Amino acid sequence: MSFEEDILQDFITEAKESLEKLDEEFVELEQDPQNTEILKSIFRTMHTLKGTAGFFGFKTLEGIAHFAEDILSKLRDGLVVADEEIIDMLLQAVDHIKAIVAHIEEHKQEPVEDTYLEFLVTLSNFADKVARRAQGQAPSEPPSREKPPAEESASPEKEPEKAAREKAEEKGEPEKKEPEKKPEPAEVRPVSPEPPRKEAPKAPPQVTLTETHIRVDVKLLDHLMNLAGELVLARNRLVQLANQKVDPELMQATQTLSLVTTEMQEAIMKTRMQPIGNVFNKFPRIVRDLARSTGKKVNLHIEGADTELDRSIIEAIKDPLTHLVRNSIDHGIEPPEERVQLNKPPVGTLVMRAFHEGGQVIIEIEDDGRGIDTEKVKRKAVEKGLITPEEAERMSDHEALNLIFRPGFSTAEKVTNISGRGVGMDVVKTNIERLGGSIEIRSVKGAGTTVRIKIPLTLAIVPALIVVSGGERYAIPQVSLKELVNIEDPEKEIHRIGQSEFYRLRGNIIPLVRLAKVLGQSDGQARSLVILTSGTMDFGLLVDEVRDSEEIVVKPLDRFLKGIPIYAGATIMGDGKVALILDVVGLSRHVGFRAEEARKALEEEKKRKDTSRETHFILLFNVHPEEQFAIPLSLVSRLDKIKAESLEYVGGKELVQYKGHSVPVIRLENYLPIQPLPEQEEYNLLLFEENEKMVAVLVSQILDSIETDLELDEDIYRTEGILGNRIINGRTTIFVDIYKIIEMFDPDWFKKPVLEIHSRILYAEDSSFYAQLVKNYLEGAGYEVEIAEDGVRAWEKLQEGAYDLLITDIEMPRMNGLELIKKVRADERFRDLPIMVLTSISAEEVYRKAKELGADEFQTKLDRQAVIEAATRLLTAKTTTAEAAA
Amino acid sequence: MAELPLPASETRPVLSEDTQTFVTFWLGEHLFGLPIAEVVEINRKMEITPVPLAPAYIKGIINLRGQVLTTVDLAERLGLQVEAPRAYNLIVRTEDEERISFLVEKIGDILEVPSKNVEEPPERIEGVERKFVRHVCQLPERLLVILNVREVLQDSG
Repeated sequence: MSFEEDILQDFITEAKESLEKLDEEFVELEQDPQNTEILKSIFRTMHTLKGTAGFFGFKTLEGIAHFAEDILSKLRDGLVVADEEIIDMLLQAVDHIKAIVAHIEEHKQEPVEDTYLEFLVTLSNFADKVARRAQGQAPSEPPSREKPPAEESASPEKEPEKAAREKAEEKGEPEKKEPEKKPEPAEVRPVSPEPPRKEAPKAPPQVTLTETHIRVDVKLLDHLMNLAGELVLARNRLVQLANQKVDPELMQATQTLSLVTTEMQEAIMKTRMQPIGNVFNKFPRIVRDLARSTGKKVNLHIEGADTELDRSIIEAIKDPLTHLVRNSIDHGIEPPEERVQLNKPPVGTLVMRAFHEGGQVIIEIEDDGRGIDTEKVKRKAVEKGLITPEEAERMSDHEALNLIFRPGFSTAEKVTNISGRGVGMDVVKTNIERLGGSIEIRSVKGAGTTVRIKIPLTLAIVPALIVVSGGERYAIPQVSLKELVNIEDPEKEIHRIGQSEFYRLRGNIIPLVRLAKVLGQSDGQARSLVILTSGTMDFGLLVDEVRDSEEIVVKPLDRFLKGIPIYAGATIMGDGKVALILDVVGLSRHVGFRAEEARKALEEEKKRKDTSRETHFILLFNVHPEEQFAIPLSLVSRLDKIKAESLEYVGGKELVQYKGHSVPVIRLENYLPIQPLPEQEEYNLLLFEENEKMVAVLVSQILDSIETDLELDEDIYRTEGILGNRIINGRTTIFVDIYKIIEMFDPDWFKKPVLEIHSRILYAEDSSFYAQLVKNYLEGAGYEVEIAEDGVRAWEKLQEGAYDLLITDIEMPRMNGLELIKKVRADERFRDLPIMVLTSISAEEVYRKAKELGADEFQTKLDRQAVIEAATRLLTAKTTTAEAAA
Repeated sequence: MAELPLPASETRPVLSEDTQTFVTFWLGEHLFGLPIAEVVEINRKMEITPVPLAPAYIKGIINLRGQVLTTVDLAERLGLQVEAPRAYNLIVRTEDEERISFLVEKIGDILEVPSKNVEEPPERIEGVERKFVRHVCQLPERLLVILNVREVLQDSG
């Protein structure tokens, strides 16, 4: 509703202006009838009038304009000379149009009086006459003397006068034109009170097109704006000074000034405000044409056309909006047949919506088309080399949608003449960002796409944060500001990957830019972090100091400094000094890595760290409350609780009844130099099972199970049955070698392989825990085991001594297991050396790789029995082969 | 602040002749001039905000009554070795009505010289690249070098 009224209002304003112009031009034309420039201009104006009238369905108006245009075209082409008669008729046409426009303004519709229709007929006949004259070699006869064939006005007299008079008298049209009396027409035309007004109450002469709006030169507005800016600055300075002097009266005065200034600034800003409808109303036509040329049916809904925006922004968003609308129709909305098949109405809907939100203007362009196929987008991006297939796989839908904004991306299967203009969404995005705005896209496949643009209300005066770097102040527009962080300990809080730095903000990795570095200043102790968003990415700007937030007036930099991308302009501070305004998008280019890449790099680094020390779940328990013990959880078969009374002594051995079995009980204090288990009503049991035999370790309490690496200190407790110790949760924790203890409890517990020959095993393992554990159980099985703490060391040891079997971990520092295997297999001397890969968890991928490289066996470290069996198998096979070879 | 030195009276003995008036200023040993019409005003010791990343000869930006102007260190731009501080801001109007501030060492007289004495620059002018020179004018004591502002500002954007 209001939108239609809006555009009608626009039409009326435009028509009034046109009519005024026509008046002037006709006057000029009379003085210089051959002036084709004027003729062309009049013709154009009339043509436009006709067009817009047609658009609104004002038939009479359109008709009059049409015939007037007809006549004008003959004049313009030089087929007829503009004589008084013609000009008079045309002026009459103008007057009628004026009357109609006035009527429309008041009644929102065309007048229905006969007057206009009759004039239309007159004009039409006159136009015919002119046309004939034009055909009949007009110059042969003085055109002004020819008689118009029109019924009423067929008079030998001076046509215009008579026609006018007749009209005035017969039809009650008071308007009268006397173009011959050139000095007068301006006065005569508007009002001629004499003729009696019988009918037509809305006759042309009464027309006084009252002006509620005036046109002001944009330059003047800009100047006003500048002055307002100056005033704001002067005010700021005055306020500063007033704050220094404690004078209540001065204070009062500055406050008033401050208030008035703000209000004036707002008012002036408003003069530059225009409804976004000024842009939106171009779209019905664009949409119609586009729909037609693509064979689609589209209904355009416009909402919030009266939302106001700064003139300069209105200008600047026109192109991006056009592009987005084109995209929606071209790529989004399906052809009618397809829509019907999809159970959608055949006519697609496109909504253009504008509204205010949080001091900004939001513009949405929404269609109910096919939406964006993120898979297709990813494919395309991979094809174009914008991302790797792995990246594509990891990408969320949201990230995939944002690919559209990358330079060099266009989703259209084929380039069409509508969207495929080589201008991509990246340009749209850049343009929006240049305005200090942002753009985001949401899409549901099959249901439609919404593009949301956020732009500031004005560009001239913006709130900004003042920061200091290298002793100079810089302003950062507040729209780009997300939050402020104070870095307490740069060493700890700022992470570094290569040359790039990062900050972890609530789990997000934010790349950092040091302002001093960007500006080429010596880097001070920048501890204030300003988190900024460029629209597409967040990043942190490290500055020396953060000051207040201020309203600043944006002054453009002149051409000598325009080329520097990190500045958006300059502003004058309260003290009269100039400060540069930083361009956040420009600054974001100084981000070494994007957050994504940083995350990847960090992950990899983490993985590197992790793999050099694998993490495991360990079980924490105590025997005596003062000592804490740990054991890898995966070694434990079961955990349970028992009552003290279910413990029994049989034949000098302590047993516990567990699920129908008598299970031998081990008290750790019997084997380790630790404090004894106190008497308890209830105990915890750790059950270990091997070869269908079960043993229970009696402990006091299960404390926790945690994930940790297994880096151990071995020096404190060098005792059999203890692998080492480590501080966990603030307490020294002893890692128990449960295999050793079981063996101490019952030397025959584990089946011993029958070893015919003495074999030496080299075990490459960086974790001291595993090295110790595996070594212990292998030695328990009768092998000699040598530990190498990484691949490099293992390789060295292989050179030094003879080994019958190489067991290797995969993840190790310096040289990992795979590299080691490769190296070993590449060497003639070790071609037949059996290799077993031991991992902490089974991993198919690693096994496959290891096998390709020539590993013979794969086992998990904690599977004692399987490892021993495999070792035996490999060593036996080796011996056999060697014997066979011998 | 604005302190246009008074025209030195002894420099206008040739009233009848066609003359040109130049604002002169010093950069080390060199005396330069600009047509008076091109000079808007002269200010002393204006506070200059440096603009990092700008070319070296751009000393920064100043606030001229609300207008932000770029300040060019003329000595640096012309490649002159000038040790003395440059405390004067010569505000110049270019052909395109842009305003720019030139930083100069000190302001000389305003000279009115007969037009016939204003000549095309010779092939070689000591210390200054020829392209920066529009005209020269031989004064009794020394050569007055009239700068070509457009050239001076060329390639600086």
